Amino acid sequence: MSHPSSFSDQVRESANRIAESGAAALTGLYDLTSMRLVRFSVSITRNQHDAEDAVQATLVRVVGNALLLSRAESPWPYLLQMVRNESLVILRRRRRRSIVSNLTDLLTHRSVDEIEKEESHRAVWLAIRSLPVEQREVVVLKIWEELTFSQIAEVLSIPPATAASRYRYAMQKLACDLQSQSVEAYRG
Amino acid sequence: MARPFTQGSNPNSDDDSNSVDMSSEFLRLLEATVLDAGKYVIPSDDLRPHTLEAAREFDWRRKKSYRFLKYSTAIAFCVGICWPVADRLSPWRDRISGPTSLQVQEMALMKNIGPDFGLLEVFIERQKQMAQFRTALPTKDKE
Repeated sequence: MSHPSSFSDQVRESANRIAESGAAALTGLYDLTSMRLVRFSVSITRNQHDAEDAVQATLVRVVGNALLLSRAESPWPYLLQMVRNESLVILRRRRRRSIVSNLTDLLTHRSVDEIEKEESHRAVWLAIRSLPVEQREVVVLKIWEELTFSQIAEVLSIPPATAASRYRYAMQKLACDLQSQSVEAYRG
Repeated sequence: MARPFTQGSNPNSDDDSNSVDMSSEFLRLLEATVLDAGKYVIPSDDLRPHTLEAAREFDWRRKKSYRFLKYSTAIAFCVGICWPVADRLSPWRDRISGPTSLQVQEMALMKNIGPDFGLLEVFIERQKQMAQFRTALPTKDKE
């Protein structure tokens, strides 16, 4: 994974290209960010289809006003914030949909050399899904997006101390969940 | 390649005073495990073409509405300028454009000397009017 600030620079560069050339230049930003954006959105919506809708809507919005993204102080956290807002809108609109407790809605990547790791990955995703959304977001942003608590606070509009405490609680709960899953697997 | 939560690295190295205590080896291992699972979920193959198509359509619609706005503004501007100018020139309309063919025919019939001679009379009168109009205009020689 690349360093956050350099990744932000790449996002800014892609946004500049979109501002110059329009929708034709969106491929660069899509290829750069789509996987990470979908992953973050899935952590909020708990549904891959909704997450992809949120990402698509966000990227179309970026085409609408790419300068807003390129002029942002930190384009990557800003883009994450956009996806979060879009995910929350979709989540509110589709609240009636039952929440999936397993991982059947997710499209997963399986490489031949990582088959033995798949169980571990599934366990991690299940454990993350069991967290409250506020803690889930912080874990995703901290570990997968490598943001600082200040940046997380900016994305989530909360104080940095709150982000840190949410992270602490989330990690404790994840540890418990993963430990209990390991014990169950061992007994099974 | 910064991986702050891999084993051996200092997870508090993001210069954040609110970092949680990650001294436990177990927690570091946990973070590494979570980090490893990050690439497990991927976007569907359809998302890329759908997103690009939606963006293209959005761009096309935006350009279309922008063009419409541009032309509407140009038309409104022209109407806004031309209307008052035409209104101001209306008292001199007869002198600028002259009578219409229908008006000329009516004037010829009113002479009561037949349509041919009536028409001739009307044209002669019109020539005199135009000559008077020209002499009434200030010229450089007169100044």
